[in-house]
Amino acid sequence: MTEVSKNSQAQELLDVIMSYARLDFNKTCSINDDGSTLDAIATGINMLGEELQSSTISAREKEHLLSEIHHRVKNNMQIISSMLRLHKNMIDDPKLDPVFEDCQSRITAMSLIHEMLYSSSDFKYTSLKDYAIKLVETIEISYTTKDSKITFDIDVPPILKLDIDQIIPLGLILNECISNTYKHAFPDKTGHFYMKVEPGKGSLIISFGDNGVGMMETSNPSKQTLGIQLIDLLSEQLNASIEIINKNGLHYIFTLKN
Amino acid sequence: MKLPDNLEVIETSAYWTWMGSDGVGRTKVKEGALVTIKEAKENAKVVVSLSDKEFPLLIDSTGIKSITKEGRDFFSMNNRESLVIALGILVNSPLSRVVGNFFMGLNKPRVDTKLFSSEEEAIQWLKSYL
Repeated sequence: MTEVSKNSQAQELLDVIMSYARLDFNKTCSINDDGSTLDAIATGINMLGEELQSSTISAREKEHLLSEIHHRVKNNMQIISSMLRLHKNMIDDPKLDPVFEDCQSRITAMSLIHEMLYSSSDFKYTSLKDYAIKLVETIEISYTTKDSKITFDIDVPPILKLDIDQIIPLGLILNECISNTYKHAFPDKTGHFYMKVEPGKGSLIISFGDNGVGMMETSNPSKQTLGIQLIDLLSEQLNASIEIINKNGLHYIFTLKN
Repeated sequence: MKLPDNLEVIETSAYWTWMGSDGVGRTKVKEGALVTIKEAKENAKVVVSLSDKEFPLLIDSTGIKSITKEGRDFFSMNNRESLVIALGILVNSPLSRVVGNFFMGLNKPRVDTKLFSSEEEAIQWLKSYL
């Protein structure tokens, strides 16, 4: 093999490598019949291209599947929520209305996560800030009228993303906090609530609170609402500690250990 | 690896295959062979016919020019039954060494597999499976 043809084959190998780097698998390296090292390298590049193409296709298929699963989970949750609404209308007992509505709200909080996950690029992580804003907007519609003057602040680092194992329990906790705020904190439909997230030393501190009427004290734990019990249980699942300050409104401080 | 004079050798488009008198099967890739799934399946059919008992197989891949991913996947014997219990692969050219290493690393053959540059060492290792 002459020096010129060696250089030309080496140039071809580079072109093919660059095509594969762009995930363009239409090119392959030609192999001469002289059993040279360049031929061996060309064969290796061709085989790497085949493997990379196969892995790329497989990864795309998995991504598509994941997106499809999140989409279906979300749709199924919406169906469950619709069924609960139908049952609520059929039973027509005002005492049971809040039970159905709370269940629907909790289902919506979870379905929102799946909706955000199938629209995300990695199908794994959800922006806590985007989620919190969407959740507030969804709950707000159910509990406010045109006369309501309830404002809120959400101060969460935009880069903070949580995986599905964290965001589902945390989303349900936030759903309880936000729903309770809209339901109980402001009898005159005027007030302010906030959510703030700060990274601590090996932890994440999530503060949520309002300037409303606060929580009625109860010494009997069995009198705790289901919402508060849920917050306790889900915090345990998240390995988070809770501090509740019932002064100048109601304030929760959750510390999630990393 | 030399073709034997005194044993039946089965020729397919890309391989010569025979059973050695020592009980080790042998298959030799033809010089400049381009192996696709078609050649791989053709070879497997012949290899299977070598014995009705389990046996180790020596593959001389020195003359190979290329092998497709489908061909490599098929030779890995994953997802198919075979009486072959071990593979010794002779890799005596730079190209066959690349192919052999890919086969070992990415295709992960189902049975014990080892690359050799010496035929004698390969046979010695394969005989331990008899």
